[in-house]
Amino acid sequence: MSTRFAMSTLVVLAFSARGARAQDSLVFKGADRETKAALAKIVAEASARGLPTAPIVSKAQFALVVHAPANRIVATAQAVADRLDASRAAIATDTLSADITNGEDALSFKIPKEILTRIHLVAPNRSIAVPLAVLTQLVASDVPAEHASGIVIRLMRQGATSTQLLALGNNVSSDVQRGARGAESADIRLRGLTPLLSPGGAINGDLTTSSPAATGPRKP
Amino acid sequence: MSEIERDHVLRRAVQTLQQLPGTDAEAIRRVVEAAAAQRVMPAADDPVDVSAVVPPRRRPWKLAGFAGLVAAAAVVGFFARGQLTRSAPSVSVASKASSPGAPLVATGNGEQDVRPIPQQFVFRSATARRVSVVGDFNEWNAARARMTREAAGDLWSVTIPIAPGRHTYGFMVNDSTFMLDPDTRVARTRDPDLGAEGSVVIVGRP
Repeated sequence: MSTRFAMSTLVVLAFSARGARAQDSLVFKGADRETKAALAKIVAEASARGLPTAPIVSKAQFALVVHAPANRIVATAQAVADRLDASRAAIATDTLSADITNGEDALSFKIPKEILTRIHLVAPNRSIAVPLAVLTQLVASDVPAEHASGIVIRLMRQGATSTQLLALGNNVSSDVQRGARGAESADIRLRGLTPLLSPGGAINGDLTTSSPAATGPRKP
Repeated sequence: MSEIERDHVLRRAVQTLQQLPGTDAEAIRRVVEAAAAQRVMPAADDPVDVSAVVPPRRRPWKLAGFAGLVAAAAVVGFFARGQLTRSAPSVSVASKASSPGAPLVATGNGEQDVRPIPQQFVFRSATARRVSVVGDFNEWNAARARMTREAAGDLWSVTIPIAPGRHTYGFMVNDSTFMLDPDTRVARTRDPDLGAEGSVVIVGRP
């Protein structure tokens, strides 16, 4: 009996691990019943569309942590779901949830989805989570989206490493927190990186930037 | 009376599983029915130990059946879990950079680029009883990243694997007070949907 019982239990545990984990994510501690139901519906619909659901759950949980009102929590969760859809469409991938998630974050800062597509086209076979993250951080630091995307794409084309991109994003944030203007800081920090990078990099002709520092030689 | 209700072993399995965290009822039904189909002895209501009455020569076949079922479930579970963890920022497997200094533009497998990277968080408090780091990488769940206090000091720390990208976080002190990272070098952001502030970490492979 014990062997059979143990094996039956083991078999079903293999399935229950997934369910338990998913349910653990859907606790929405502190939300009222209606809010929980609305959030669960949004998550289920996103899951059915093949979208990563963690960003929706995460944003709802954050809203609960900061005591946002119930209607705002639900509206925000729905907005995240919609942006995940748009992000996936913009970067033409349904395999790397980190890319879709960072694309959603970028869209939340009103970065146009066309910019996401441009960044994807620079590195179509690699994750663009870090470039998108740095782009978002630059925009969150008051660097205009077109200007920021020009810098990020230029760095990608010049073979910048993740570490170099991250350093740029963090340094600009730090400068802005100390009172600098975002675009000015981004240009100065880019100049600091340029000597370390391949000189062959150039921005695509279809990119527009507002800064001389971010405008490299254009391809014909 | 169904097959499952007649078989006390399967009944016990179902009862035990019902006490576990919720799962897909349809999956349980399929697995238990598959187990019932493998049953060698006829169902009995009396609580007899099945292993004691199964003819020994047939036992290997029964075990083989269950082993096959376990293997199939493991394969299904593996892929199902893979799908789930791919969607979740707070996955459990961490790894260091495999190619330091790799340029961002290169051909390769994007999956390698999104593997979680260990990230250390440090918080200073002499009076806190519990401190956790909470963020979008662990769904703002204080129970998922408890920090530990140094034996002879007031520094709390934890290192957790985080997927590459931009993440918002903070510290939950005593499970009730949310605080931003007091480190002045750390960027802060105002959430565009909620207007609430969070600290920012950008994670990337070195």
